[in-house]
Amino acid sequence: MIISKRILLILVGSALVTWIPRITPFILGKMVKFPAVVTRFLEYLPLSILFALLLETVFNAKAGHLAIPKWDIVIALVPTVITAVWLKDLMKTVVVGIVAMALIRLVM
Amino acid sequence: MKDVQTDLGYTTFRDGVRSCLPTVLGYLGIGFSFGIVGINSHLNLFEIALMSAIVYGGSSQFVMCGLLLANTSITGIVMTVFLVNLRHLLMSMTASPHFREESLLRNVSIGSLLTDESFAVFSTTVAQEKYFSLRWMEGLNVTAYITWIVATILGGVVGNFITDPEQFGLDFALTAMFAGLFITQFQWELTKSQRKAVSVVVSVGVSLYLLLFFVSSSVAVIISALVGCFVGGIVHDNK
Repeated sequence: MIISKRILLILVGSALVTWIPRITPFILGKMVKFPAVVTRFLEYLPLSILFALLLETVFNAKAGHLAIPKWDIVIALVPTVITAVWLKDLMKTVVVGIVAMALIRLVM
Repeated sequence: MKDVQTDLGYTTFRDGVRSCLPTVLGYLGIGFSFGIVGINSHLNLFEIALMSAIVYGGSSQFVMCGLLLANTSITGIVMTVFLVNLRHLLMSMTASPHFREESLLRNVSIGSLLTDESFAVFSTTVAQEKYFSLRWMEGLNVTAYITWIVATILGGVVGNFITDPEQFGLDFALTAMFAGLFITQFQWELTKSQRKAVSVVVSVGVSLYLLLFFVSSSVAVIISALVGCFVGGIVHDNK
């Protein structure tokens, strides 16, 4: 199997720009201690970023236009969220979500 | 962390594998759809596997396929991937202080394999005030990494016969996984401080929606997450 030079350059470049932000804090963190105020604020990062990532998948966004909800995703989220709250089981949540979405796409 | 007493279930590599299992299905669904999209974006199996192994970022890999099809320049694609994956910087900043005592090499290896999902599982563990070992984190990370690569290859194999993973609802695995991970984290934060948890979520939601008008969605995610951190940091505890 052969890889084109263009794809190889894209992959290596993309890997580097992804890797560097991933590891830099781990390297810096070995050398210096982050200020307490930074750590205090970052305590809310997990909650914030997970909600932001979730909402990002819900909207069809284009800069300069108001974001429009993807309605099939919004509808599929209803049984998904109910499952997540009720059963507290990530695997079942994902299964219910995928099945719900497949059914919605079947009728929509 | 080696000498610290760890909680039962958060000690060995195997424990880490077990902690990863709930997310495995999500990775499989998303990875499988990515493989299908990749093949249909004229990538071959080797390129799909290589991308999964060295870029290792779900949403960025989908974005790359779109840009490849649109014949975007190399620098354009790399710049976009940088922005889409820049959020890892924040997650690594949050996770890294927990591994200060470990060697540099181990720190780099943990950072290299940090994903939204492994970060979420890690954060929930921190929120539950569980003590975990380095081996546990490695088990979690490596399981996710292998699952992702295998899933994308499998998707690539069937991608010649299926062109549209969306008709099976597979693309929704990403949203469903984020929803499940968010709700777990949210419920823990609610038990600590309802006012803070709700303020953070509302501020993230409002700022994200507004930001989507002005900037790309990956930048909006980063800024709104920072807004959430800021609001969480300044709202006083009120149980």
